[in-house]
Amino acid sequence: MLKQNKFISIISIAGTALAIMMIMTLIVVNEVKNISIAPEDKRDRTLYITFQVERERVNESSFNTRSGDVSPNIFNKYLSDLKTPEYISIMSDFNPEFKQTVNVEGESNYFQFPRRIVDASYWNIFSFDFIDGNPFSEEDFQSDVRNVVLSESIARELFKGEKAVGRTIQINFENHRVTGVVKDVSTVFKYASGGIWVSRRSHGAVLLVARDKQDFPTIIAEVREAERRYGIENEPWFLYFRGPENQKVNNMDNMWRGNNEEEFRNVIKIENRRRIFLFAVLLIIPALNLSGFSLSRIKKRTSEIGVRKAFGAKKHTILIQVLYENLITSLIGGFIGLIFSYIAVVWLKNWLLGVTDSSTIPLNAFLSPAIFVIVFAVCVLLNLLSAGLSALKASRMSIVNSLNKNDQL
Amino acid sequence: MSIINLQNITKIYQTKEVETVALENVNLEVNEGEFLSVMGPSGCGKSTMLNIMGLLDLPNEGKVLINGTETNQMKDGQLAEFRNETLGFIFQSFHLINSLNVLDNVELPLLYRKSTDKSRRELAKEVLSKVGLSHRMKHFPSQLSGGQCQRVAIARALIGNPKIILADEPTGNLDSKMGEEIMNLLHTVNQAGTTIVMVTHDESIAKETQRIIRFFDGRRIQ
Ligand SMILES: Nc1ncnc2c1ncn2[C@@H]1O[C@H](COP(=O)(O)OP(=O)(O)O)[C@@H](O)[C@H]1O
Ligand SMILES: [Mg+2]
Repeated sequence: MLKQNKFISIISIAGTALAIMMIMTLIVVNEVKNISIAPEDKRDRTLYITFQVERERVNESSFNTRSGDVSPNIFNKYLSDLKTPEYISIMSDFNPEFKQTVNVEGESNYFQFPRRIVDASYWNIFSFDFIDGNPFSEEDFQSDVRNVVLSESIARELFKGEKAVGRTIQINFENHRVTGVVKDVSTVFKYASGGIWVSRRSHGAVLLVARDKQDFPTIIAEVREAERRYGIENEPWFLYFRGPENQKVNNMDNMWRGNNEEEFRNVIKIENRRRIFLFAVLLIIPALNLSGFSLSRIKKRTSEIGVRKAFGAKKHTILIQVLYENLITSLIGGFIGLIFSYIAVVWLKNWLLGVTDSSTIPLNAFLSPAIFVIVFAVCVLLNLLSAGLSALKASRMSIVNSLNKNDQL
Repeated sequence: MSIINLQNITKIYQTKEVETVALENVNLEVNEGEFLSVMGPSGCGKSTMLNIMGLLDLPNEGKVLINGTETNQMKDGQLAEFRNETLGFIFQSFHLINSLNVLDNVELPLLYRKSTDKSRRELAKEVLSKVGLSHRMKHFPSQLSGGQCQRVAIARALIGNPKIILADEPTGNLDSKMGEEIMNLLHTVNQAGTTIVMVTHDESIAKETQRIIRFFDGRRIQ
């Protein structure tokens, strides 16, 4: 069949490739943020609390509200001692554009580097590649000495190839001891990325790593219990944590997070609907375009279909054959589209993933079985949408009409 | 006993503007092993009758009995199986599948019954040697002459070992020399026991067969 209608085949393969590329670029961008992949290799059993709302009812319709990311006090009192999670950690945001003044102790060569403030537990949650030294321990964290871990590239810039571990650097003119150096981490990783990791208690996001996904409900119940405790201890104030949410939900870019659970659930529902709608449009528009090509290809084969039926092919055999052959075109297009979507993601990474030029993309995230399964499913869907109707009609056409090419499609 | 029995067949084509009576109360019996020619002017219903006989089309009225089996009540799927086992077709315009080579074209009927790749291959080679095309197995239809194409089509009709072969103007697109080759082949097939019903315009070709029936305006006149 590919040979028979070369031109049409090429165009519909190209059309499929383009459609798959659009869809896959979106999915890949999303998947890279969701798959458990080193250093964020526990994403599948991590819950996130990224926002807290403290409120006091003033009257029927108004509240006093304090809200923001999780505060150190609230964390210490209500979250740090949860029973079920294996690891609990609070960490600041990491903004590569927001830089601190850094120098090696005793040197007056000043650099500008971004930092992330973390606790000792942080190092258990992610699997960093330590080139030298170690993460700082809980004891280090509690001690008066400030400790830091440096990224490889920052260590190289600061120490010009000399050993960094054990040395002291100054961040905003305060002394910090270097305990370790890690391989650079892409800013695709929202929580593992960093340049200088400083040991200190900070406000920020709380990550709760479960021993097993099945513990999620228990952990969520514990967090709700912590809110209740706050309510009792701080009357008339009450507390709402946004979350704990799993990786997927946490990754949705909600403009507004809501002041309570109900509002937040609504935001998620709307976001989900938006995605399904977008996905449907992305699928249906190319399907409509491709259906014209499918139809003309199937039309060219009406007499072949008649011959096959005359010699004993049943309707469903014909239907399956036509769809199957069409699927092959779809899959070729899908494969090409997938490759182009990788190229698009790598090429447009700043824009698509919000990563800076220096960061590397985790290429193995692209090769996950999930992505291949999704591409295959999208191809099948596209195939059914674009060729299903014509294939069905062609398989049901009367034999004599097919043989004589009496056009009824 | 007759292998094909058409009883009171009427076929009407209904289109928006006109109603064409293609066959009107046609009765016909064909005996097992017979080689029958169907003649008549263009548009008199010969192809329609052959299609109904071949279970490719349904009559508006009347009964079709093939090999003693009444076919009127059969469902699509049953008809497909029945055609596959009992009938072989040869068309004026060959109707080979252009994207398949000669061997694959010939194997086609066996795809729709239980068979192994190997046995299909072997049978296809066997029938291709019968039609004298062993040396063209890997060729595509576009690389063959009209006569060769029709021989491939005959091999395809033969491979399933059907009791009946229906041929609609098998020599209509061929020059007389090639037509003669095809007729020789069909006579050989018939002598081996296969019943053949053939539509033709060519009086001399028809005369070579055992019996001639004639149609005029949807009616059998002889
Ligand atoms: N699919 C069809 N729709 C309408 N009329 C048809 C159709 N097929 C055949 N006919 C008409 O039926 C009559 C018999 O056709 P046909 O059996 O093909 O004749 P023949 O093979 O003897 O030339 C003709 O008048 C033809 O126009
Ligand atoms: Mg005809």
